[in-house]
Amino acid sequence: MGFFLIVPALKLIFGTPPSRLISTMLEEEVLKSILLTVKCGAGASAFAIIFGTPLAYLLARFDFRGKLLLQSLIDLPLVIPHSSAGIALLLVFGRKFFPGKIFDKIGISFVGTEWGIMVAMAFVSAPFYINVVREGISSIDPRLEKIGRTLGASPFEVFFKITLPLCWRSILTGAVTMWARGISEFGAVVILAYHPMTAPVLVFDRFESFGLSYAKPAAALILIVSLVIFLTVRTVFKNAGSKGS
Amino acid sequence: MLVLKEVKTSAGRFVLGPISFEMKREYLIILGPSGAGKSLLLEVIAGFRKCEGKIFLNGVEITNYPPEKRRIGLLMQDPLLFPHKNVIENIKFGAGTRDISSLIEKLKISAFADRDVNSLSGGEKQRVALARALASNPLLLLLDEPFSWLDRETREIIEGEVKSIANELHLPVIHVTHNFEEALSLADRIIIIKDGKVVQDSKPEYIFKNPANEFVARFTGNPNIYAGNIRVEGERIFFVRENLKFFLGKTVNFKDGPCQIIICPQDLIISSHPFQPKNPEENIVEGVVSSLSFMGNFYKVGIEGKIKITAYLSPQEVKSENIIPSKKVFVIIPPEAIKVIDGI
Repeated sequence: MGFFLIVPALKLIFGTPPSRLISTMLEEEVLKSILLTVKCGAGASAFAIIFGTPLAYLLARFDFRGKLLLQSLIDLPLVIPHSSAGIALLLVFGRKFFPGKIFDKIGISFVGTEWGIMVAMAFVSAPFYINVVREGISSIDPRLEKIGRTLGASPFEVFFKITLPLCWRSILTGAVTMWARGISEFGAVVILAYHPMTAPVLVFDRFESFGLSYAKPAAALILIVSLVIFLTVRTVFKNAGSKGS
Repeated sequence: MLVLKEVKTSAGRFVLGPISFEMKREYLIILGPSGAGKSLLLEVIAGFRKCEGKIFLNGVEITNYPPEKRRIGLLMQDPLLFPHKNVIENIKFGAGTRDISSLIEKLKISAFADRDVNSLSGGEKQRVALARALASNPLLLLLDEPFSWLDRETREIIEGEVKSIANELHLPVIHVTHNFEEALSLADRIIIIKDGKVVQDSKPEYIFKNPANEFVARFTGNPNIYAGNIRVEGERIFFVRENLKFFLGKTVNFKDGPCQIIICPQDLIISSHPFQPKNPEENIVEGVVSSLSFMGNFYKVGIEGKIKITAYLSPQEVKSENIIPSKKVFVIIPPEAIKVIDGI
């Protein structure tokens, strides 16, 4: 299994001459596309932290009618083809349906913009965040929150003083996992926003237009950048964890 | 003062109540078997569960108050210290600007006040949990079997401290337990509940000697429960069963009919010398010692004869009568040791 997972990545990186990698990295189009991908992935994760955390809390702490259905709907992006997801998003956030119209009125358009990329990334990767955070909150004894209430803390204070400090690791893990999944998204992003080009779209574009040898350095470079960011975040996360915070 | 008026709630098919009682500044034990609804009652009082009826605390209706507005402290079975805070931070959580130094001193926490809560022993953790609950200046303290998992010595020390601090602070306490011995040693008053209903509400000694029914008698550890009939003979009242006849008294207002009696094991007199009843008002049973167990400060003596009866004797009594297994003995049952309880 390790061979299956590692060899394609190694082949991509070491099968490209370093000089080609450096020259590709210096191309403005490539650099912009990598930065755009990282930025939109981070934006999607931030969106999930703000809006997905309360949802994860709801799923972890409360039993209600339709909970199973809600859980299934949240997981839906994991199973549907992402090109279909892109079309669904285009229908909702295009200018013909009311959410798209409302955002259009305040100057936010989702077709062919960074907003669109973020929405596509968030849609396909939010289940990773919500599920990790839900599990994290579920693992915290709810009686700790009850005790907090008897000590005079409101539900809001209990969340910020007890629950959040105890599940920040899950939030970080969920956000990093979501970010990693988000930046690799192609299907949904390409339908909502072919331009500006994210890194996966750029690789596809180069492969389609100029062939494998032209697409390969960009693909390798994206892989290296993702790996470095992922390793850095994980290392920082591990160090913070070992300090007992 | 806490007042519950017709309080009723449910959890699934289980229904608690309606329960009504008033409590003053006292140490009240809610006693009952597992699943009786004890913890559910505490959840209602603490504000974690909606209920019908009304709850008043110090004259203010708190039925619809959220838990954070009730000023009711709660200690659960586990200490539930906040693992991301150290000892002092845990205690300060609900203290606001109140000075907690005297509390830390009183509960002997100073020595480990700066420690990580995960490094504390079970007894230390419960001390911190208690200090944290008291630091929030509650009007009522709820204890949900908080010391049941501690070893006996630690449990008794901490329970003694809780009672003395509660007395000192004039703080009413409701302590839930299923352990009657623990209830006897701590309670000013005991409420026994079964299947969500109050079965008996009284002083510990009264409940022990006058259980309201068979359930209370068994739950409070009385092994001598017998079914039979009341027979009125002139002015004398008797309990009869097969070849047994016990005199109950003269002034008791009973009619002929089925009943259940309990015999208080600590009120029995055992004689190893032959003892014949001189009149029908003396209840004597002949039997053989079938078991003899030392219980710490008394002996539990099982005797089998026409009935199987258990007596609690002091070590002096066991020694003076030379009570040993298989020995023939005579059990003298004073009429006042027999209580007729509801049943049948």
